[in-house]
Amino acid sequence: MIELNNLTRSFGDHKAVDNLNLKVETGEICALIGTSGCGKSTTLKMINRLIEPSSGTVLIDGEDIRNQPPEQLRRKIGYAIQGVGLFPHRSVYENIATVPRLLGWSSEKIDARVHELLELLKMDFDSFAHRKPNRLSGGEQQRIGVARALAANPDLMLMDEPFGALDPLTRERLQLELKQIQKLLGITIILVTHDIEEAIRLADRIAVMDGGRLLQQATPEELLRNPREGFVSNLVGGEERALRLLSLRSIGDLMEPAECFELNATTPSIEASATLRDALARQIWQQSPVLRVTGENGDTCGAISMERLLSLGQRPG
Amino acid sequence: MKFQQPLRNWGGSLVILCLLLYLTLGANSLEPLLGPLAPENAPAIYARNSFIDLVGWHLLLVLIAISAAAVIAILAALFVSRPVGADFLPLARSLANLGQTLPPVAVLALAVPAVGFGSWPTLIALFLYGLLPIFENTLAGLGSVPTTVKDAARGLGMSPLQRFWQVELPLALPLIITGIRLSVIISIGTATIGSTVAAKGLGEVIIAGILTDNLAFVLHGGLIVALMAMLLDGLFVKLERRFATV
Repeated sequence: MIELNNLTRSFGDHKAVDNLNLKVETGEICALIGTSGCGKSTTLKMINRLIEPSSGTVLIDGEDIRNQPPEQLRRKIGYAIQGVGLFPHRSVYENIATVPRLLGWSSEKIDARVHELLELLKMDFDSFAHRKPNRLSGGEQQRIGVARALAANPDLMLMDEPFGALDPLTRERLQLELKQIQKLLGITIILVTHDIEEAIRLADRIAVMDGGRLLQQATPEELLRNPREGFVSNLVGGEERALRLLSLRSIGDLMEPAECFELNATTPSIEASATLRDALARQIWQQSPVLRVTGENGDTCGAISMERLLSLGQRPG
Repeated sequence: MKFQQPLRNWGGSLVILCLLLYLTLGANSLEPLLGPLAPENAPAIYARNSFIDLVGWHLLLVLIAISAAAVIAILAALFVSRPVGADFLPLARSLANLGQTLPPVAVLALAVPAVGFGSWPTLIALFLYGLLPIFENTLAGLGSVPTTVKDAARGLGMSPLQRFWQVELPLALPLIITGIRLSVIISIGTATIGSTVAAKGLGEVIIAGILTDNLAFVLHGGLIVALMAMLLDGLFVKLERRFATV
């Protein structure tokens, strides 16, 4: 668990982060979201001591991070940033091996780890390992940036707008991959972003910051349903909130029994793992008020009606 | 690139080297060629010192002066590029500029009363003249390291020394070598005037030629100096490419 207690950082008279309290559970993705200059990056950098707090403490699993030298602390925490910052004079292999080398791993262990990571990120060892970063696409560079951050098996990874510079398609693909990897490895991620869609897609918990203060922290659903007035509700959007809410849940959890509807051979179907938003989109597209829901094996396991979707996306109260 | 800079390829360098060897080792066979340029009854080939010795002395002067300038300029640039030394940047920059502003001839004139005739005045002049390009290029090289790369190095847990040796220096190296190359090229030419205050080098052939109206001497000495500069330029460019990252 990561705990930020009364964390404050001033630059001169300006308080970049003002008395911030935040808890992130182990194995969670927490998104710090806000506009530029809201203090989210400063907060992130105080967790691996790139910036020292003016006051307050950061505890990782109950231990104050000031108990160890900054370099040692950072080697245990993954760090991935916008613009990636791969070392241009080093190959993909050497970039990934950076932290293991700093930690003095044996070359066999490093070699095995680099193979493992490239496989995890679906990159072919032989065609990528010995390339220089300038011969990679933006998406590939970002993948290697993530691999480098994960190299020494950190329990915690800090990410500062890691996908900010990518095109929307690549961004979405990497977000999904990151989520899978995070679930697989069970690591904790604290992610800085200004993109509410990204926060909703990835995070288990979203912390909204403005002017150095934490305005609200909640699960994506809570945040969409009950955003605090003002900045937070502007951020989560007005009418679009309905669609964002629907995108959070999968059909499988909320479908109705198939018997309630008269399904026939022409009724369009959708997989139970798809989101409610996908279901609504298909209903509109196919002009069908009901969809057949199918399980992994293709059998009908339920149905979902537009009526139900509309009520699920309703504003509360 | 290859076609634009033929003299900086290995082939070009080899041709220049052959010419250089011919002009130094085979100097005597040039007599018929240079003879018409010499005044009547005067020798066409300088003979007071062997050309190979003169080339050696000339290179040694440049080597010593520029090595010293490189050490001082690089260290100074490193110092002022660190947070502790940042306040000294304007001072270091004006000192390096001063070295470049003083004409080498004036430095020679000022140095002779202090250190006497011989190689010392020339060494001092070349040293001062060589500081600025190396200093500025080292600063530019260190400044060209992308902020994201430096941030990543820090965030991954590299110590300041590791960041310097493993990231900043390798990335700045091509520009630093460019600075050294500029200083060397300038010095090869500038070292010739050192012979006015009795420094050994190819300048003595050229100056002897000027004093005795012997165009053959001037041409012969001048050609060797020019070829040396071209050869070193080509070699340094290859070194820069070797360390280039992109």
